[in-house]
Formats: sequence, structure tokens, C-alpha cells
Amino acid sequence: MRHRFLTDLELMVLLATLRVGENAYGIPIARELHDTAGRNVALAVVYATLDRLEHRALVSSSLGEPTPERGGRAKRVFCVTAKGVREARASQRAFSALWRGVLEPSRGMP
Amino acid sequence: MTRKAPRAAAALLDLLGPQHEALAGDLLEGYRSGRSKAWYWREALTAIVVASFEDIRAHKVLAARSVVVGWSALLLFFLVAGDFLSRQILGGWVLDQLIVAFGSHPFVMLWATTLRFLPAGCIGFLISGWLVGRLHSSHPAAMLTAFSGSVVTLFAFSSEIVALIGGPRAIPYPLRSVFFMELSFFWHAGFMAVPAFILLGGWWGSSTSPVARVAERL
Repeated sequence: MRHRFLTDLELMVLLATLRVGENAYGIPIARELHDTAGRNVALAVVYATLDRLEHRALVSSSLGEPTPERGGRAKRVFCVTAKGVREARASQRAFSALWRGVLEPSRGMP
Repeated sequence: MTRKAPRAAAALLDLLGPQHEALAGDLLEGYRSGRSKAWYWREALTAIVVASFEDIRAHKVLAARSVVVGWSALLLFFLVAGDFLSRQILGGWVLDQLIVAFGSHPFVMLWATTLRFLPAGCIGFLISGWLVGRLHSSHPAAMLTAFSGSVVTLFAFSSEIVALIGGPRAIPYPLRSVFFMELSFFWHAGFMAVPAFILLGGWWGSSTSPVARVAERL
């Protein structure tokens, strides 16, 4: 089967999940995307992206305990799998290879 | 004191949004940690739209069926009753009474040229939305989005379509009636009115019923 690369949003969400580490659920992941990458992403979009990543076994999720400040609703905590880390590194390598030499003045870049 | 989420937004999310406990909890947590009502509304509406598109992607055949059902209901209504209501009753008998009572008052002119199309349009969009909601009660938001999206798209490109096929006469009745009377009226009256009436009808019709359950299995 043909390999499907991560989209930019999928890669960002994957990296934000890695950066948050433990207790990575919707709100801290969306905050990380905003604070670090300057990208304002709606929570529903974060979850839709995480669902796609989970479908590809790049992240796994588990339900936490329901808490009163969340109206008795449980958190869904995400964890990047080993396959997810490999996929993020592969994307990084692909981007690095594409960037290599691009910034050299002789290539006509500003 | 614990802040309560905006009631209408929470109800809308509960009714049309994803059945996603974690997302609903996150929204409440964000709101209680100081986010604004506008933030909650924006997040809730985004959740409904995103869930609808994900649902459409996962149920393409059902989405196509909802578009066919919605348009069939819409056209059937205008074929059987809509045009009669707009032309014969509201544009005939009611208009005659208004002229007798108010003469050439600007309201009578407005009634004659545009307002008489409003009730048939409202009823047509409500009925088609109701039927789509009724027959797709397991995914009402997604299927209503698919149908109302098709209406709005056709609506937005109606003048291009007419130009392409060579004028209004080439369009079969009752599609012509929908295009040139109802949709053109709603275009001027408010673009959002069309999906709003479809969604309203769909919300009304989407409560689970035995008929709807049988239709879902087909």
C-alpha cells in the first residue's frame, strides 16, 4: 500500500501531543499548538485529527476519571505510539532534505 | 460560583454535535477556566460542522440519499402546492383583498412582488428538512448539512447554471419555480434563511420513530 505522509496539521498535533507529554488531552494540546506554533485550532479539529492519527495507530487514547469541573465528563488522554514517533521523524527527515540547500544565496533565494 | 455553559449552545451541541463526552468536557473546562461565551459558541458550532463533515465522509451513500430525498420533497411540494399557494392564493385572493383594503400602499406592492413567496418557501424548506431529518435520524446534522449545502450551492450558482443552459425557459417546472421565485426571494431576504429553515424542519423531524428506524435500514 502507498505510504501516506502526515498533513501539516497532523504533524503539528502529533508533535504537540509529544510536547505535552503526560495528561495530553484536547485543551493542553490546543494550547500547545497556539503557544508554540501560533496556530489557533478548534478543539473539534484537534479531536478529529487525533481520531485520524489513532486510526493509523500513531497515537493511542484512554479515558480518565470524570471530574466535577468538567461536568462529570471524563478526559480522553492521548499518547504517541512508537509508530507515531517514527512517522514524525520520517516527516522531519523529508522536510530537512527538502530544505537543504534552499537557503543558499546561489539558489536564488532572498 | 461554577459557571454554567451557554444553554442554547450546549443544547445545540448536544442535539447536533458529535456524541463526544471528552470534547463536551473540554469545552466546559475551558469555559469555566475563563474563556468567553463567544469562544464556547465558536467551539460548539465548529464541533457541529466538523462532526457533520466527518459523518458525510463516513456515510457517502446516505448523504447522497439525503440530497435526493430533500430535493424530491422540495420539488414535489412546489409542483403540488407551493406554486398554487404563491400564485393563486397569496398572489390572487389575498392580494385582491389587500388591494381592496389598502389600495397601492407600498406594503401591497412589496407583497405582490416578494412577500407572497415567503410562506411557500418557508413551508417547502421546512417540509424537505423535516423529511431528511425523519429518514436519517441516526445522522441528522450530517445529512441536513449535505442537503442544505446542496441547496445553497445550487442557489449560489443558479445564475451561472441558467446562463449555461440558455435561459429560464430551458429549466423544467417546478425547478423553475424554486429557482426564480423562492430561491431568488430568499437570496435577497437572507442567505442564511434557507439552511435555517431546512435545519429547523430537520430538527423537528429527527426524533427517532419506527418509520425512521425502518428507513435507516433500507
